[in-house]
Amino acid sequence: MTYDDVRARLNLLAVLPNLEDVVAGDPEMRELVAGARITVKFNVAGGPKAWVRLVDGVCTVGEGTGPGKREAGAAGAPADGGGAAGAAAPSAPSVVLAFASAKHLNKMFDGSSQPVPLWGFTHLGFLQGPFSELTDRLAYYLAPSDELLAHPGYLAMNTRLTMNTAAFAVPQLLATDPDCMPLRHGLAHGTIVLKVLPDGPAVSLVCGASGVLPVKGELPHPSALVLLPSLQVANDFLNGKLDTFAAVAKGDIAIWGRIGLVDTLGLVLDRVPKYLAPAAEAGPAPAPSTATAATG
Amino acid sequence: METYSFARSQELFERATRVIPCGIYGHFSPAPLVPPTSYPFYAQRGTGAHFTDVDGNDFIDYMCAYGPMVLGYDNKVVHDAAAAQRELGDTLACPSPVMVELAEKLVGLIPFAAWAFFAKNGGDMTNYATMIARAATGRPLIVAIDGGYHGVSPWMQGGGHHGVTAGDVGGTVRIPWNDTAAFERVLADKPGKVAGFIATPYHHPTFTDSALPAEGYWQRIRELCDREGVVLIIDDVRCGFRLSLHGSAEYFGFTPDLACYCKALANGYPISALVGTDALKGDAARVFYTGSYWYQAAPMAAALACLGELVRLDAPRAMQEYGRRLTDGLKRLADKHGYELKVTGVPSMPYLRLTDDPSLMLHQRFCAEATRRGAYFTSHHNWFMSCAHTQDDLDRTLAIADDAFTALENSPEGQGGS
Repeated sequence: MTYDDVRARLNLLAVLPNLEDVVAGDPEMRELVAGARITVKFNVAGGPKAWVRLVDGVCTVGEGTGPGKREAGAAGAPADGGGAAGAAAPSAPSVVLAFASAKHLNKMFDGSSQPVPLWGFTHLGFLQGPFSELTDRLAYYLAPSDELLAHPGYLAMNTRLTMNTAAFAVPQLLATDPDCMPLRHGLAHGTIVLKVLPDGPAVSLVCGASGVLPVKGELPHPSALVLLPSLQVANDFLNGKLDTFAAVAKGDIAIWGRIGLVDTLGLVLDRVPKYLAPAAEAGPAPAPSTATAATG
Repeated sequence: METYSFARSQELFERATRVIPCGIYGHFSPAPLVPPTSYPFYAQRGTGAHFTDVDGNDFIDYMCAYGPMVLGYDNKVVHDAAAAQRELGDTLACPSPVMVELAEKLVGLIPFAAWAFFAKNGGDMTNYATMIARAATGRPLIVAIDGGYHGVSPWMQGGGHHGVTAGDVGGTVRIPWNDTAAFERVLADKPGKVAGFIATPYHHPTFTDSALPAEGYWQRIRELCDREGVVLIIDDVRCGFRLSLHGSAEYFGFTPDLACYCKALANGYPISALVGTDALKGDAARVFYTGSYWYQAAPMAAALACLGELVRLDAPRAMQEYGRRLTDGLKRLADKHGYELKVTGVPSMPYLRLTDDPSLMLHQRFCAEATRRGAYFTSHHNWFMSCAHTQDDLDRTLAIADDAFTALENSPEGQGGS
């Protein structure tokens, strides 16, 4: 699998799911899509597929061809369901965005290329309007500056999205990154929870025989806990601004439980910036930061 | 019971992070000490089975410097031997006679050994052993155990670790512990390709229960190695001289081709050794292997003195006995407080775990509470006994553990105790 193939998987399956949080957590975005009823599908030739569904002001993102029951008025939309949340999802008209290659998709995430809409031409207005605004907002939240991070609301959203991106990158990297693939062998089973104290955000990674399942939020009975004392420390940690070893030793970051599990997943997370650091479009960049993707 | 604080350790660590990667790297890193704020990071001095940290806290030490301390810190017999050699010369232009004496001592002590070779760390020897195996057989592959630790050279680490390439680990095949059928499958799948089989005498990974060899395991491995012309390497770096004075292979009733020693060899002086069969002596000679300080004479004199003391004290028996009394006492205390303490491995190197919480968090809290009261318990690694641990140490340790269990019971996280 090429560098662009891996990066495309991360863009679609680790970065894109953050749209859910942007819609849920940004009132302006929630209002923007309040009346929308649409599924936007991303289809990379020979590569990953994902879908974004917007219904009644709620955004859901999933892997695969997604919920796609054709709704009256959605001429030309394929009836190809099967996504993670598709079965129970209310139907919505689909727009299919086709990408000739993983590189093509990555260029779109970098803002230097456009997809080819295969289906749902009648929804181009939505794509170029509200959907574009939504993805621009995602990009904004994932491109922090010191000035932006000084605002508590931005800090909270950037921390949440960066944490999500890191967690959702783990199964993709274990499956496709040449450095991470050997780590699948011997990965202990159990759930690791990464949480900002006292009330989150949090992500959980369920490690089992079939791989790693990322879940937004805190699952019960973790095998290992990584507890971050504040949004600021969490943000510094996730963006590579913190001396992690020192923070752990001083107790600023508390790690409990199966440390081996944390160590292995740490090795995976260390590889995220290779693909999603701001300079990633130029090729692998060994930046000591985590998941600061430019998207949109 | 009074609990310790670690302000000076934290202060030093803060300084260290500015000039040393990780502050403290490798197996001494605070990372697996959970929570690190309950542990000392820097030791000031050591005597007998105790060490004192930079905050002036005294600990009964159950890690023994992760193994090297076997006779007690500041052991006079070993120090005097090393000092006498230093008076004569330490690192000189030629080896010192003590090198020959030490080789003769090891060959006399370890039944299968026909020769000995010296370096500094255990990893020097496990690496050399695999080179000898490849030289002797002309084959590329080494079979090792999943989770088995043999040092930090790239081939010894798993794929995916930083600084390790696929090529580095391509010559190593990992199989489960206690699985002779898996070894047979590798031999069948890669005929004529396996140079060596390397494993510790019993399986002692971190964060996980230790596992003794199944009945007949080593004998079957020996048979398979003989049948296929594979060199059988024992990494006795951690267990060496804590199970048997004659090597841990003797303890488990089999004969290896090569055995690696380090930790308990010289009571803290820097030296490691590889011993081997006469059949491999020529191959050992042909592999070029050396280091700037590998001829240092004082550690050799220390090793000679240390081995003499280990024999005089019947050290493995003494350590096994102390470990048995300690772990029996801890199990009784755990039971009294409503917890279940599982002990695996051998008594001189036990791995302990409170089974009430599979995540280890409860056990981590217990070890931290004990350490804050003066019994240095880690939760991730097997402990080490030494010949310096006394009855007073045992009594004090059990009193500390009793108090630590009480603290655990009274904490919100310790629910589940009586």
